[in-house]
Amino acid sequence: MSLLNRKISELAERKARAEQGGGEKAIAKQIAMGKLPARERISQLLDKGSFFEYDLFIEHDARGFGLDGKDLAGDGVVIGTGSINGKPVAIFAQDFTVAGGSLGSMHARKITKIMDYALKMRMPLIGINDSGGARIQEGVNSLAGYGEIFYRNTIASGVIPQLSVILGPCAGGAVYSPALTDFVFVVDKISKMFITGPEVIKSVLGEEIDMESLGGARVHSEITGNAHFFAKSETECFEQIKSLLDYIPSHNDCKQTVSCMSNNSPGPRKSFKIDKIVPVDPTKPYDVRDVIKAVTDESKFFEVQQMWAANIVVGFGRINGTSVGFVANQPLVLAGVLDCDSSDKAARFIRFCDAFNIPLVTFEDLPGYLPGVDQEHAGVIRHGAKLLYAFSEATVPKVTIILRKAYGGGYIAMNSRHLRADFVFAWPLAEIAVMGPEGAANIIFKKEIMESENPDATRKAKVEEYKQKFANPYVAASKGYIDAVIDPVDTRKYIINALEVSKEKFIKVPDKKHGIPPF
Amino acid sequence: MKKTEITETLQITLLGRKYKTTLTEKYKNRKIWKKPDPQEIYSIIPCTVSAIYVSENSGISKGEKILEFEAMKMKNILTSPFAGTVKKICVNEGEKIAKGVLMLIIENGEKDEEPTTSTSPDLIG
Repeated sequence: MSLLNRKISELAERKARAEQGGGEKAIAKQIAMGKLPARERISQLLDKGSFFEYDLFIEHDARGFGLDGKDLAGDGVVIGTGSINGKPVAIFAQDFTVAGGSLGSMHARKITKIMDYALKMRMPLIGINDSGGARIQEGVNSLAGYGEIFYRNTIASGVIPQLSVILGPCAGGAVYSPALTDFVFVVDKISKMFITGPEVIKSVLGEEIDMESLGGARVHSEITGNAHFFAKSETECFEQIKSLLDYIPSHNDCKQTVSCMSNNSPGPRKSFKIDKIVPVDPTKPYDVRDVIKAVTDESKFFEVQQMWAANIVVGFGRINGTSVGFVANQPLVLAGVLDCDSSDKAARFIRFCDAFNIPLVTFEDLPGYLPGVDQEHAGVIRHGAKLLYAFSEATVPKVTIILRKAYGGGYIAMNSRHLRADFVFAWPLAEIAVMGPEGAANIIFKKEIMESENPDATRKAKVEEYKQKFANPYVAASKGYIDAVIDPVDTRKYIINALEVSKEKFIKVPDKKHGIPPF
Repeated sequence: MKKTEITETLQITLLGRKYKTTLTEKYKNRKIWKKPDPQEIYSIIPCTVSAIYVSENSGISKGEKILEFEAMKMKNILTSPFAGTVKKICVNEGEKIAKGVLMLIIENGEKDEEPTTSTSPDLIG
């Protein structure tokens, strides 16, 4: 065997050893937990043969607590670049089979290296989290590693999309990296996220709770809003990631996002009859997602945070081939009111779209902000303000369609003309007013109703009078607050035109270091 | 790890160290977490129950209409999150109820797929 061949076979041996991760036993244990090994995850997610791994031969430099001389393959994390539907991505995947995926300083350095690549080469970053947390033996070096990651998450925010995939435990300080990224993916019974675990909670507060109820995938998808996508299996989760990446650009300098998966842009499916979806009776609920599907290409809508704060719907669709972000009140849930959580959810989504040049289309049908002591005490003023801030701040093309109710503060908040919507259209059913007819009539005609011989009849007559005079789109149209009252069947046509003419939209905002949103 | 005292201040012994902390009103009034029972359906918003479509001890299929409640100028329909039997109805037609009131109990007939956490039943129209 020539020297060269010997060197090459030594490389092959070293590679094979390192790629084994924690070894067969540990891999079998990982699979028994219902989880895939780190490299298998990467190969399922990326285009076949596209993955190039770096830093395979990294070794930890810990010297104390029995770690000296201990071999930890790749220091418990796999990093590299690859592609998804032809789009380049940077990826890291923590390997739970190696020291429980614990984060030591070299482990962190691998992650920060791929983060730096992603930012410099301007491609999306995908982080697969499956780690027991800080490597305690490495002490403050481990904490320093987390800090370096958090800092990069923040600096890269708004420049490249960052996706966190929670495929195992992600506890303590480690949860803050996903929290700083744009989208968090969780898988039922596999993902666990919390700051302090059930044991600490029990010892300090005496409260008993199991891990799944504290920070399982369902909890974060339905209650906390920390997760954006919920899947039943890892495979389903990977499909969600592929779909999302097709709607979003690689970096913030892309002017628009066109699909890599489908290039044709036929109109919506015939089954969505847009003029039949919204009931004329304003007290009847309906699913606003049908309205969205009635205007998007192929009637496709990719919803974000489907289960949390479901009274507002946010997500991506395409109009004539280009990605658009949709924000819509959902009359089906809590009458579509705005509250703390729905304002929070929509505001963050709007800021993502604005950062990545994705135009915004808003469908409006809401009775207003949700009244109540719990909302007020939860800070609905502060949370609600986030929505106003996000819409006002966004400089991407912004189109609003008022479907039915647009009352009070809700009218202003939902991308009104006053917050600089570029185009505002209203359906003939629209009721744009400072409050609902019943409430308004009771205040304006209070004296007449009280002094009347038949207060109930007078009240009814006055409510009807108010409805006729104000609960329609024509008062707002007469002031130019809306640009056109449109036939519902023309909605897609109007959106296409609005987006087309605002392609070169340019807004100059006053110079500033950054704004101070109410978060 | 043991608690030694619960009065206005709380002293905790954790990993051999003593920690003393003052209790705030907010802490004292906090709602203690209780494992939610998906069979108990609570109101998620203050509302008026305008119609009840089921009766006690009747069977119910998944997605079937249970009741209609008016809240925020909307007539919302509550549908069953699973197939089962209506064990108890705790509200009356026309009754005004607050948020978090037990409205009814449905015995889950699909034992195998019980959600592990609280899920609000779908509100569909």
